[in-house]
Order: sequence, then C-alpha cells, then structure tokens
Amino acid sequence: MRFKPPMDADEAEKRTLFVTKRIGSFIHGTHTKRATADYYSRIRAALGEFVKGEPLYDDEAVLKKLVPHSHNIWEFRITFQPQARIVGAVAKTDVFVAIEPEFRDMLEKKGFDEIIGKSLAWWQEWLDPKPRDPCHPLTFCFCNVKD
Amino acid sequence: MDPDNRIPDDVLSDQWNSFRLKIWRRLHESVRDAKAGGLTQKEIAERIGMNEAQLSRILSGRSNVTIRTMHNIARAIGYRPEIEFVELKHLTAANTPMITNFRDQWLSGTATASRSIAAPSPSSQSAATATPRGQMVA
Repeated sequence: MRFKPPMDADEAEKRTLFVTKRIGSFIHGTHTKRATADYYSRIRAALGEFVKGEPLYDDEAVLKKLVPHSHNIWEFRITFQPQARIVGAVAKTDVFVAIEPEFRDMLEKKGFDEIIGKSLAWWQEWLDPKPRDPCHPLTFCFCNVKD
Repeated sequence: MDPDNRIPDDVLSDQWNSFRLKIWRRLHESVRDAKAGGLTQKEIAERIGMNEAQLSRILSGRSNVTIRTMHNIARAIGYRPEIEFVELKHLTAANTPMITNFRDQWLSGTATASRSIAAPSPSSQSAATATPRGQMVA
C-alpha cells in the first residue's frame, strides 16, 4: 500500500512510501485515548513530511542504515516520545518500503536482529528478485539531502 | 453548523503534528547553522537556563517540546521565529510526480521518475476537502 498524507494544494507526493499492512494497522489503529491517538498522528505526520519531500540531512536523524550495512535495511526514526522506529528498505531513489514497526525501547531490549530478519523475509517473499537498493550515503537514496 | 463542513479531528491532528514537526525541523536546521558558526550546545542551554542534556534530548527528538521552548531556543541562537497564515484557496498547485501503479512498474523495471504539473482542481483548494489522514492507496 502507498501512504499518502493529507496535502494542501501546494504540496505534492515528492517521495513514495510503501507500507506493509502491519505498518498500516500500526499507524491507523483506532485509539480511544486522546494521547495515544495523538501519538499515532505524530507518526503519520513524520511519514507525511517525508512523502511531501521535507529536506533530509545525512546525519542519521531521520534515516539510519542498520548494521550490518550489507543487508541494506534502514530505520526510519520517529521523533518525540515514545519514539518509534519503522524499519524498511530503499527500493530506488526516493522510494522507501516500510516493513516493520517497533518502539525504540523495545528495540533496545531485543536488539535489531529480529526486526532485520523479519524485514528481509518480507522482502524476499514479496519483492525479490528485486534487490534492495544498496545506496549509501543518503544522498544517493533521496533527493533534497543535505550533508 | 453543517456537520459536512467539519474537518475530521484526525485530519486536523495530523496537520497540527505536521506543523509542529516543521517548526522543530526548522529549529533543528537553525541550531545546526548556529553551531557551524561557533555556538556550542552548552552556550545555547546556558542562555535560556536549560540543562544541556535536556536541550540535547529536544534537539535529537528524544523529548517532547512545546512551542514556547522552541521559541526560547530560537532566541538563544539569535533567531526570531515568525509565523504566517496562508490562505489555502490562494495556493498554487505543486508539481506532482506521475506515480501510477509504481510497484508493478518498478518490479518490471519500467518505473520512471517523470513529473508533470498537476492542474489545480477545486477539490484541492480547501482544507475541508483535504485528503483524509494518511490515505492508503493500494
């Protein structure tokens, strides 16, 4: 599925963001508590700014390539508390496929191996034989990247 | 009041969070410029009576931040934040990438990054008719 944020007339889908159903459910869940609903709204806003082409910096503040780099798996960092991480891969320039969501504190406890494994398995099932784009640094992956 | 004119709460919430994130990003960029000019994070924190660790958490997005705090940080680095209200009906339509069934094109190797100018449409000129929150397109 492709994620499209609310956009005004002068805004456009400058980058493409595909999300798995799991991420779709994660960010669009129905929440009765206002604070929880607002939190998921913040995640959608962060993803939306990415789609609308908000300039990126190659400083790992928004996107960071996970170790080992050879897997070409990235984490999308959602700012503000509680911080979430959305793990995925760059399909090609300005096209990100978001595969697995997780909260940062959970990742700190569990480590990244599991989520990287899940992401690779998903990619293998749905998108192989297309390779994940090995682009690095970020300037090779997305437009409007500043060093 | 006509309920059909009401902007859904979740759309307003997404737009507000987008706005807040934009301010934070602009502040982040301004602090980056200020640091490049020789200002240290410790000096910035001292100027507004803030703990340096707290400032670090704010700038790295690890801590929630109010508009007031962002204003204070901006002042500490020698900036004056300003605000502008833009009338939606006067917006000019943006360039819109032509993305049609991108996944299939990409998998078949025929995807291109061609872009075209989107024609303004009445439906894109009012906040009340904005795309619903984070619309998913199959």
